[in-house]
This record gives sequence, structure tokens and C-alpha cells, in this order.
Amino acid sequence: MSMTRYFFNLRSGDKFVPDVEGHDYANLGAAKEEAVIAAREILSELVKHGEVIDGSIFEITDASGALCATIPFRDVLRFF
Amino acid sequence: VTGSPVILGSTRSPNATFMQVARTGFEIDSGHLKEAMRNSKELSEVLTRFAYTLMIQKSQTALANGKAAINERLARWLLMAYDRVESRQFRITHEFLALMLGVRRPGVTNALHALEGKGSIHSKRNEVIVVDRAALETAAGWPYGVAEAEYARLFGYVDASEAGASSPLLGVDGE
Repeated sequence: MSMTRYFFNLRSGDKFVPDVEGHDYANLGAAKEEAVIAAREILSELVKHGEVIDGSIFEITDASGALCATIPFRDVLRFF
Repeated sequence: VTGSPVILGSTRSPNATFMQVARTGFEIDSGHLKEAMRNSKELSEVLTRFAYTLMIQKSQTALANGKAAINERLARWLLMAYDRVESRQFRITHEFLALMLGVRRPGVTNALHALEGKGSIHSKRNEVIVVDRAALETAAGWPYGVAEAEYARLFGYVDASEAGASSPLLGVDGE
């Protein structure tokens, strides 16, 4: 099975954290699933330590730098 | 020292040991070590004392995992690595740091960025350089220091900023 390397770049207001390493996934769907879990983890840290939950998003890019998907952090939270 | 289970009386362990940084060292067959410990009360005492400091380190890790923020835990881990490799620069991936800290990789990338913003480290692809050790200690906060002080009390002061000054006995979590 061929794997594709995806990069989870974090954009949060003026802050941009480039993913210099990336990780190989079976497909974009698998990368997005991982991004959702990672976003929840980062949000839970912010909540636990009383920090502002701002409008962060993951910008998922491939090795060529093309934007493949965006994961807004607010979309990973579940409500009734 | 890896293989502390042997010091404590077990020749088997469910844990695995692996090298993170290329260095030279010594190795001894577990049977020979047990024999040497039987023959030397002094050796036996110093090794069990070492195993005790590892227990303190592990309890501090448990506390940090439960209470500390990811930035603090990452800063602590980098300081512990610095103390052991005697170098301010180590080749390490975010993926590996994520494994060590029990978090997802993007959490490490984000935390490295935050530490870099405070001027304590410089992070590149597959490499972390400690720029300002004092700033890194400030970033680590309370999780770093208790285990190190206990180690220093029993084995002498550890100052990794002076090359060669840190003791080869220093162990790490996860061995």
C-alpha cells in the first residue's frame, strides 16, 4: 500500500507553526482522522490550563506544499 | 545505566531498552554483574542507590504526566536529555518526542514552537538545539529539579554545561 506524507501546519491567529516533519498516511482520510485527534488533544491542554481557545486550524499539506484539507479546531468539539 | 532490573534481582523485564543517541559505553553480562555484586558490597550499594534515584525520577515523571502542561514536560525531557548526552544539540524527531511524552506529534511541534518563541531552544527538522538552558529550566518549572537534586545528593553535582562533568550513571525513564 502506497503511503502519502502529509504535514499538519497549525494556524492560530497571527501564529503559524509549520510542520517540518510530516507523517505518512494511507490516504487523506486517515491524515484528517489523526488531525482531529491531535486537535482535541491540543484543545484539552488549553482548557485544562485555563487558556483561551482561539480559532486554530490545521492546514494539511502534502510534500509539494499543496493545501489538501483544513481542520478547524471548533469542528472537532462535540455538542448535543 | 540500563538494565536496572538486574540490579534489583530480575534478569527479565517486559520493558525494552533502545539507544536514542550514538555514544560509547560498557556492557556486562547479567550473570557476571550479579556475581560482581555478590563479591562487592560497595558495588552492590552504589548500584542499588542508582536504582533508587531512578525510582524518584519515575515518580516525578508520573507526577509531571498527571499535572504538568505539555510545554513543561517537553522542556523537562529536553533538560534530562541535555544532562545525559553532554551536548546542547541532539538529533531527535518530533515523532520520537511524541512517543516519549505520550502525546500526538502535532502537540510536540506546537510545544517546540512555544519553547523556541521563549528563546530557550532552536528547533529544526530532526534536531533540537538548547540555546538557553536557564530559560529552558524556567519553562520546565517544578517538574524538573527534584529528581536531579536527589541524584546530585547521592552521586555528586551534575552540571551538563561542563562537558564531561555529568556522571555516566545517569539513567532515563523507559529503560
